[in-house]
Amino acid sequence: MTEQRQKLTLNKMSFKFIYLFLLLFTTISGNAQEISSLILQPQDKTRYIGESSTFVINATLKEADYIVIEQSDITTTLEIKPQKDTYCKTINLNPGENTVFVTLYKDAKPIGKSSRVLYFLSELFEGVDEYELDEYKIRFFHQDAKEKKCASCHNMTSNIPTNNEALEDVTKTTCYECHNSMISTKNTHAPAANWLCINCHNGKFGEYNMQDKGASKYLVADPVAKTCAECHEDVKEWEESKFGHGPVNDGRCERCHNPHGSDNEFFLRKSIWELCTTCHAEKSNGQHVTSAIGFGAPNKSGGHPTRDREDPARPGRELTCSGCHNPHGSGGISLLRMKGTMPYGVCQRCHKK
Amino acid sequence: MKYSWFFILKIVVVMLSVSVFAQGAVLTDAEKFYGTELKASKKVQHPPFEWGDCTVCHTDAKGEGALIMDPPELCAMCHEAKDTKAFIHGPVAAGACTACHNPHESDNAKLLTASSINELCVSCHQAKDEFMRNTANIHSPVKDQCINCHDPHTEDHQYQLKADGKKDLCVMCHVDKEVWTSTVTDKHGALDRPRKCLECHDAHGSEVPMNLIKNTSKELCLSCHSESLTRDEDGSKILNIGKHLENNPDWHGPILWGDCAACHNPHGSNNLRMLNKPFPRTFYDKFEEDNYICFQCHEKEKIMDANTTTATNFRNGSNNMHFVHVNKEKGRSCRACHDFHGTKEYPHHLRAKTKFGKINFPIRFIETENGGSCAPACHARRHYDRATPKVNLK
Repeated sequence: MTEQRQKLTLNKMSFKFIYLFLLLFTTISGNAQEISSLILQPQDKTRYIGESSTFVINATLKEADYIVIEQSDITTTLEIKPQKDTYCKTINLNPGENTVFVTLYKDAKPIGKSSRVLYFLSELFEGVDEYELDEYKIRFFHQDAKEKKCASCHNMTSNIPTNNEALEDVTKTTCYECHNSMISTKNTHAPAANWLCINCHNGKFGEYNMQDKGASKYLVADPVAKTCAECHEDVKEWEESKFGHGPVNDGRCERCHNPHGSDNEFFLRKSIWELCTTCHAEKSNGQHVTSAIGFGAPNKSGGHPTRDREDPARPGRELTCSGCHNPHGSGGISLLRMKGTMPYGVCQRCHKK
Repeated sequence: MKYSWFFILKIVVVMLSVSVFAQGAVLTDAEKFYGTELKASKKVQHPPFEWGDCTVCHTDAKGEGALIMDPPELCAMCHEAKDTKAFIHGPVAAGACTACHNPHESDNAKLLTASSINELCVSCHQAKDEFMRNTANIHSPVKDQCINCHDPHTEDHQYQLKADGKKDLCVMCHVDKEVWTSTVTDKHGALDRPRKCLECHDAHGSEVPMNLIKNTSKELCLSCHSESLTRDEDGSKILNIGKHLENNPDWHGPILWGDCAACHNPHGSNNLRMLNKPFPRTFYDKFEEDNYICFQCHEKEKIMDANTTTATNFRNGSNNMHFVHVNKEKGRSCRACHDFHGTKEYPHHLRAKTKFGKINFPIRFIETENGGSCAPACHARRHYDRATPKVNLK
């Protein structure tokens, strides 16, 4: 099931109908009742660390024709079928605060509505302020009481392999039914694409999320590095390197990598240059390294290129920050990819005699 | 008369002497088979017999009476005792010195009763006679003479061997194996099993080259490797290859021929899994031609030609997908997709699952008329087609 984002298009309706519709809308919309039990899930003021939020909507209260979910400029319509009472829809949140409206329509008239204010915390996007967060709580879905409500339609018992033997046909897993949009990205992390969810979502907690102990059977330990290191043997080596990178030192691989997958290489949350300059914003001013050293320095221009050309040291790859720096750690200063202890050795990767 | 009587006499004498000599040179079947290297140029006599002093051993001067005492005490009056070590040859222990040595005279050195050591030995050890005559490969010291390894009188090692017969004796000649097996990085645990060399080799010989105790190296290997063994070095488990081959009937060539040793060195090696030549130890490795034992049989063009229409069928158009996967700085080793022993689910020795980290991921291969596709751990389903190249977006 792929994300269906349908904008209400009116261009096929007759002009007359549009006029009538607008007239009705403006006169009647005010009459749509606030129905508190319309949205079963999520709870208001929920804080997300992933971008997707699943709405569960109870359509039994009014004999509606369809449901409209509005989230800033994205509108999704769900047809109501006679035999079905509960409707699920996963939407993608924008970084920061999101207000999502759910409205029931009958005969093109809104007859009931409710809304949720949700917060997607991602440090990688501007305008996301942690200080706003106090009123938003992370709420875990997979708890017995909540699962019970879903059990009439969904098999809530995990059939994910726990023996490290991935299934031939992953669509048969119980998680797939609701979470399949998770792996629609260009690159997917193998355990996610193979639906070995429980390998990471093992219910364990770490130093940074001790407060969530027992809150969900699918909890992931924070910091996550120990979980990653179960497969990625390099992690240990990186953690021990002489000069470390903050997120690596912290064991928070997921700050840069999306463990499910992404459209960028190495499942990075942004392309490498964009990702690095999210935190190291001052490095994007075009005055990198060479405007501070050499003849005529310091100057405002003539910085060392950081992108938009081929990397001479890595044929076939575009030049980017990671061409000279190793984001996982280094034996030398500035996380440079140098052999031995001479910082300028890194220059010789490209500038050979 | 043309011929004088003297000339005729000469011919008669020559003919007579030839016939006498020929009669003396008639060899028995055993002598023909085992040789006559102990045969002396003239009769060998026991010194007391040579002196004519029968009373040294006998109670009477004619030598017709009883012995003055029984062997071996009698012999030990002059000769060193031959029963002083832990293991004693039966006849020696029984005092039957004369079973092998003639006390008076003999045509053979050491007064032995046969003209070669081996002929003498097999006169009792008849099963070994049978064995030596009917076995294709006889260990050369055995063929030469049994006493190369066995002391005919007494020794401190079982079977009167000159050193422990399970290994120490072997490496007295095969010193290269001693050095090799103790210095290689990837050792074979069988060498430390109770029977050591004899776990695989028959020290006397066998029907199979290298004196193996089973008909093929595969049969031999599987006599141990049909259960999951534990590696001595790190306690890790080794695949139950017997069961694996039983469950996966599409076997790699060398296994069809029964020759595990085509790839593995049973004495150990400095390569992964005791391979005869290198193979990457890790899932990913920088591609180097010399790092792949596979090229012993498989053409290197399969991996090394970036574009080809002949070297491999794993290509998208002429784009060699083997090259794409393997031939790079972070190249995948063959094991990512192939199982070198046996497979079942897919053709081309493609494995059903790839182990990455600790997880077994299915490769989900689908073959088509001109190509195929797979959806392994590494990427979403990607297609290749030899006739009409596919474009893969994910």
